[in-house]
Amino acid sequence: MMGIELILLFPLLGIFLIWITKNSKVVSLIALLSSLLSFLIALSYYLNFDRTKQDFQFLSSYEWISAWKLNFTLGFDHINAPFVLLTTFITVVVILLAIKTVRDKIASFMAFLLLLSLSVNAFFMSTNFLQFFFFYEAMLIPSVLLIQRWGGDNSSQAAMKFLIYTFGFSIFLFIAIIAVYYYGGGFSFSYLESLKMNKPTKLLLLFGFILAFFVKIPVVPFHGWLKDAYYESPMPVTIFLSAVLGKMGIYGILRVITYFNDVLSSVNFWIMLLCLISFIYSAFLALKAKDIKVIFAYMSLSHVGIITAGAFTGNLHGYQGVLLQSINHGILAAGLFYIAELLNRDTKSFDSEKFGALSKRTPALTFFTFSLIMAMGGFPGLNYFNGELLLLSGIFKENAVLGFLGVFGVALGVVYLAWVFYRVFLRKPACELSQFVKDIVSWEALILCLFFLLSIYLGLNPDFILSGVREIVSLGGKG
Amino acid sequence: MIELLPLLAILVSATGAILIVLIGDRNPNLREAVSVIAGILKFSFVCMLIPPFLKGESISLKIATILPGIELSFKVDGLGLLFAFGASFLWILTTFYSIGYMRGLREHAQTRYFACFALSLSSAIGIAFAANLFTMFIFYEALTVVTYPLVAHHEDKEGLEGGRQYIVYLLGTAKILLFAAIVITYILTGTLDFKKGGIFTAEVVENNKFILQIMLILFIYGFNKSAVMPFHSWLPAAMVAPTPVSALLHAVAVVKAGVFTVSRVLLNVYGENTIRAIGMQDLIFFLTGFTIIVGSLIALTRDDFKARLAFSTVANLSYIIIGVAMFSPLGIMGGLIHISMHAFSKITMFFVAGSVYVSTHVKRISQFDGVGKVMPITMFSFFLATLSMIGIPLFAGFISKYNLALGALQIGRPELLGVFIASSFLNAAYFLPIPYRAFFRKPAEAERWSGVKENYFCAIPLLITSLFTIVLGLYPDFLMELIRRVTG
Repeated sequence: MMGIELILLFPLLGIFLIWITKNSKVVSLIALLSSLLSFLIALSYYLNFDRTKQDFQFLSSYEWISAWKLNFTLGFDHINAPFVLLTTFITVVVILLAIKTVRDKIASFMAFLLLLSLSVNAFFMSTNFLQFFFFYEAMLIPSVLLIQRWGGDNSSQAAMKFLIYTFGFSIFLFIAIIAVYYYGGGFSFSYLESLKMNKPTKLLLLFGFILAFFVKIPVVPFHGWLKDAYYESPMPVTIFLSAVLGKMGIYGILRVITYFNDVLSSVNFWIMLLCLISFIYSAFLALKAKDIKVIFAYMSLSHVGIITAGAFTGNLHGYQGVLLQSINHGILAAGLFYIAELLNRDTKSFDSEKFGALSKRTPALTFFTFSLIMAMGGFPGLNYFNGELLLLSGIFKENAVLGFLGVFGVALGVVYLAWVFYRVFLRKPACELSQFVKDIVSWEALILCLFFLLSIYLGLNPDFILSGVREIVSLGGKG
Repeated sequence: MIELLPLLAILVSATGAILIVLIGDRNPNLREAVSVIAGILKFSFVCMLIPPFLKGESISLKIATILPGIELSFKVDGLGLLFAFGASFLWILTTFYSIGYMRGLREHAQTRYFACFALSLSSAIGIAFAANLFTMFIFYEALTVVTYPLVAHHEDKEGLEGGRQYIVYLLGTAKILLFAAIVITYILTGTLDFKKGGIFTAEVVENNKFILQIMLILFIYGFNKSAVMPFHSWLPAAMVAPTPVSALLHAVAVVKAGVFTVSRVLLNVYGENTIRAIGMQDLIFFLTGFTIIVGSLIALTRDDFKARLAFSTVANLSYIIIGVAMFSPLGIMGGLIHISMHAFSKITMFFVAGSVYVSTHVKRISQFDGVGKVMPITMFSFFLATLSMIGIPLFAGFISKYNLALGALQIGRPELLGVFIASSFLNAAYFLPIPYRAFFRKPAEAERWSGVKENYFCAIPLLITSLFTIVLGLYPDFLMELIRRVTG
């Protein structure tokens, strides 16, 4: 009887079929279908899992390394389920986009994309650290190849930077995992509860996790790989990087942080400060940038800063905010990068200075850009606002000064988004490239509409993501 | 059924906006008819709410629960009805006026103009009936966004610059100051719902005095549409908008939304006891008193007609806040009733500015000599509005100023009385010269106004609003009854 592993098996099947057909039209169809099926299965499991329980559900287990009593196990719980849903959803969107934009070696592109999605999903669904670590590294292979082979002029360098940063710093994650095995007695996440170690050692362990995850997210000053990797990647990969890959680090922190509540209070001010500095610093970077793709890349970097800060507040609101905002950010960042691609499609440029006065030429694109920018700017009633409210509420509870720092950063976020919208769509007179931009066609409008509707839906019903998180935090909060 | 009325009142103009966009420039008459019909429907929905409210029925509607303690919900009360009544009534008149103005000047992008106008009214009514800070925040932000195209309507350098200031001030303050205040309120109380007498318990107040003080300042400047100095300069800058926009938005909907929201915070978030306990009353009196005097003094120096009106508005908005902050029945009465009284007087004045501009293209007061001869209805209406603004008995402005003055005495603050008297003299000093020039001075060239005719699409609405300043001065009971429900 097949269960939750179908989420992984359909992409795998897709990869196999792509490998044997290689006809570009059929390949696209196979990729789309397999990702869509994977999404639908994730959705059905998501809607059906029991939100009152805290343990992993729908477990499906295969014997793996019997010497370490280690099984290959997949499961769903409150924390990882939304991430899996996000990943499968974004995969569908990204494949839809890739069908239209990628011309070169489409079969291998789709295969790598499916492989990437598969390994990220397997990472999220892991129930033990070794499997978690295995897929944490495994996803690097397809992502580096995607950046390097389909990217821009400097893609090799960008891919190498990305590899060195994430692979290099993951050694700390590896050490931390070994420490958990040594002090806790096994690889399962739950062994974190039975760690036999003193406080300083536990802090050291926490820093091991943090160091690895902060590079993956990334948080300033570990963000050296981000700009090149985001900028040089083909747009479908950029969307995947921004919407999903950054969330792997955040998920990792969410997964472990509740077990460190007893030592957290001594360091969390400084970690939150670092995250908020990252939040504000990268907002200024975005403010200075002229290139739309770079602005959105820094926007992503900026926003994950405050999301990460929320994880270290140690209170319910902060914790809920992290989960909610990760998903919100995934959806909206994907939407905005998608719009950047629509601008780039006919002009081959991301330079915001070369557009202007598009609002008359492309009313539909203007409307959707405006809506998504409003959502991303935290317009009340839309999804991002709820996350901001929870995150800031969590941070304010811990420290009012940090709270005001957060509010300042949030306001900066509105400024650069409004500024880029003004320059591209409203500013007069129009520059040379504006005349080449065509308005969106029906299927593009459909995708953008989907993003916006999701934003409204999650704005009115954040419980779709948050239901059940109330308990896991009270469990974590006992320290 | 009755619970749905607030929602219908909000949705009717939003639906109207969609229809306006769909009809577009193909059929301008039909498009404007939609505006008028939506306006009339909206006004009737608001009116239908009044009898059940006065009977004491509680009318509330919950749409969704977002997070624990945060809901999207509406509730009808006296304060909200007062604001909604004035705004929706004046929208009908403004629509007629807009038709005359926009067609008279052959303005571009009229579809966008009427659509945004309809949306801004939806937002204003949403603010009026919001049952909590969250719902109010949604419509408050929406109001800023949908009025931006109206302010920057001309799309020239000046228009875009005015629009930029408008959006930066209003969105910026809302995001930095107001959002922080809302988050802290949520942390302290676990709810954002409005409650008579405030939502902070005595215990919360005792433990968080300093935070509550800071928060009050965040609220007052976060709801920056109230234009309390020194964050007022977006309002004069926004006068680059077409005149009907300045009229409805910057005498009625937008700025009144600002003072309305501040009043809500003072009455239903803080409440009298909290404000007294944290000792912030004096600071509010100082900030608003300062705004009244300085705003009036600046108005005195402005030769541009709309700029003078704008600074007069800045000053008058603070009347409302000062009255509410007195927390005495008469003070609140005077402050809140000024929302309507000032609206009718000031919209008349803006209409006059537009009417004169449509007929003569004159913007400067110094060039008004003798214009009353060719535009008698317009300038006579302006004279009536002036009398109301000064606070002459039998006119609308008298009711509010009289109550404010008594309120100041009731709480034993004669210095506030001084502020009101000084400001009334200043009102007279900067408004009376205008009708004087129009009627009694001769133009420099004898043939200056030959061929100038009044545009009746403009003149009749402003005559109606000016007559209302007398009607409201004579029969203020209905409005006072609504406000008594707020204080009683």
